[in-house]
Amino acid sequence: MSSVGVSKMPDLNMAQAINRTLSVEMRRDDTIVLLGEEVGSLGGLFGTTEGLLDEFGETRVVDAPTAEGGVVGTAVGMALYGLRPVAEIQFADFVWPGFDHIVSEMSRVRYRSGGQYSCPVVLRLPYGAGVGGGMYQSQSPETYFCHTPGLVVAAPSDAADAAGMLRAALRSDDPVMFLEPKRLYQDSGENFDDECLVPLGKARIRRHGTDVSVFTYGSTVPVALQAAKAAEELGIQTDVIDLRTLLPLDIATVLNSIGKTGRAVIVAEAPTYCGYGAELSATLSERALLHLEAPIERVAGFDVPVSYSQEDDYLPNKRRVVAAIERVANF
Amino acid sequence: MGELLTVLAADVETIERNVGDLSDADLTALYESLVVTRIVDERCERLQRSGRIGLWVPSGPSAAVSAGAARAFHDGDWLYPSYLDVGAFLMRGGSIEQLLAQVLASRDDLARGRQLPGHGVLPAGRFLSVSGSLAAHIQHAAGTALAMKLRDDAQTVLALFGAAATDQAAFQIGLSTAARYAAPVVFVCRCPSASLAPIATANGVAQVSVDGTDMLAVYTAARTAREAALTDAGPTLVEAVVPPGTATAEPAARLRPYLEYRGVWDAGREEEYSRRCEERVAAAVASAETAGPPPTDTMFDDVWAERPWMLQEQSHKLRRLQKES
Repeated sequence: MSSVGVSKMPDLNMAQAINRTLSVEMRRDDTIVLLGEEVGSLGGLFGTTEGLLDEFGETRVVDAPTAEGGVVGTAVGMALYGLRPVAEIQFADFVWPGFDHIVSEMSRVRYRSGGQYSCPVVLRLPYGAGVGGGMYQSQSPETYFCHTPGLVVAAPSDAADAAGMLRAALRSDDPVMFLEPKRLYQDSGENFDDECLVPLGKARIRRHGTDVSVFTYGSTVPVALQAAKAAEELGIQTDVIDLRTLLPLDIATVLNSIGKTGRAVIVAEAPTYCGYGAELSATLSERALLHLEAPIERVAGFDVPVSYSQEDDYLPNKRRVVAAIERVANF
Repeated sequence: MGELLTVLAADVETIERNVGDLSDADLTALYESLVVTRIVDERCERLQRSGRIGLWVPSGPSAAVSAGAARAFHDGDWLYPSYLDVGAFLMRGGSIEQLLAQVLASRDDLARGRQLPGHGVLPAGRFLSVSGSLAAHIQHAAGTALAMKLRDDAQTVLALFGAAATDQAAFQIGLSTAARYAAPVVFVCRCPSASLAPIATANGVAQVSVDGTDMLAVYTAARTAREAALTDAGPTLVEAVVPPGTATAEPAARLRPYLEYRGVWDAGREEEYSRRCEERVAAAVASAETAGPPPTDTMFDDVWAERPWMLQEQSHKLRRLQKES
């Protein structure tokens, strides 16, 4: 995607990549407005909007009341008017008071108005465990959104993807639930440039292998890659697919991978039951049954809230993923 | 709770001091909206009883609130209605034919037959699609008003809702959000009694109570609130009181003498206009029923900006199934 005159951004971490992308896109499109609790005055709880109030002023960076229902509802009204609000919820766990606006309004305004209005909100949701946040700062809510027609649900797994996917989200006419794996905020990724665009709905093959497919996204991509490396030492070659966008799924890449391996492990940190792995597993059963050489395994969070003192045991880790890869490979 | 603002109870000088800006045509349009709403209500209740439509909630006397408030807003303003806002729909330029196409979910419905009767949309009139969530649109109205303010656009927003919406958290969040940014929005609540002044005050919103059966009082209050909103004075909550048991005909009966005094209305016109409306409504119903529902496949449109693969597949499967049967 790089072109002449485009500056390369060395070693930005994910939080900085998001910050930079917001700044670049806000310069490009003056309808983009940031909204959220302390997005201006504090620069966001994780620093992702730092400096943007100074750069763009109070008409572009708006501190919101501490009422997430209000943040989401206000963003809907702004989007209907023709702006592109980027609403930040400090922790994805806090989004529930705004859930009605997401499910009953944002997702279906286009539908119920017969295509007369659309609602291009980007809802930024720092999500996931692993930062010692306890059960109210650690949830992974993606599946709730994935059950809602009209939403796009995306979760980047490194700095470059965060930049490229956020840029795509800011240019999408659909509402995008942008799930930011907060424990990866400080991780650096590959270089990217200020025009990098990662289309929503396109997965990324993070590692090529022919024995087992590992499907994952967002916060668990690093653990899947570590597990894939460990499995290689056991002689098992894994295809690691970073789904990137959960709704709509990149079905072609998924089916292509399972066609090659016939064996699947699905890794996600949200609770297992009815999690994203369930949809993926059903999809593989419906469309790739004759390719399957082993039961599909899910390595996900346990069906419990995230316990403050036990989050390391709650989260899918390398050991659990490697064990699943081995079971599936040796079935 | 103070006195309810009334205009029509006063002498002619007082009326004209309040609504001197309304032309004969404006006044006639206000009155005619009451006639249309009554005839549409009667017709739609019959359609519901005979099972031809799924639901109809008549506006009854609150039609005066809807149309009276909407009349105070200008073309560039935005309206967030509830499902009882036939009056506002008409004031924003909606036609009887568009209304009935929506009610009967015909293929001519702008919202493509997707919503219950009374949940219309009118983009040309900036009349937003009605939500089934009771108070969500109160927050959206605040959001749109904030957007206008951020963009420095000299426009305002009107949000219309009933008393039940005020039980919802969204109501207070909408009020407090609008107040925080002095967003140019006017909230108009149809209610059985005026009781919201303390809540409005606590949320930093100006409040006024009006007689909701007095169409010119509703208009006056809404216009004043709109002007205040435009001058950065912030949002106002207008409580339009329509006591339980008020007859549907009361707002019209109260407005008519003034129109007769102005010489723009009389019994003959009433009869003639009602008859024309009856005919037009009957023709619109027949035309909507003849047009029939939108093609099944349109069910898959407008969910996402483009149909993703799931919808392409599902649409294909459904079409194949329908061909086979």
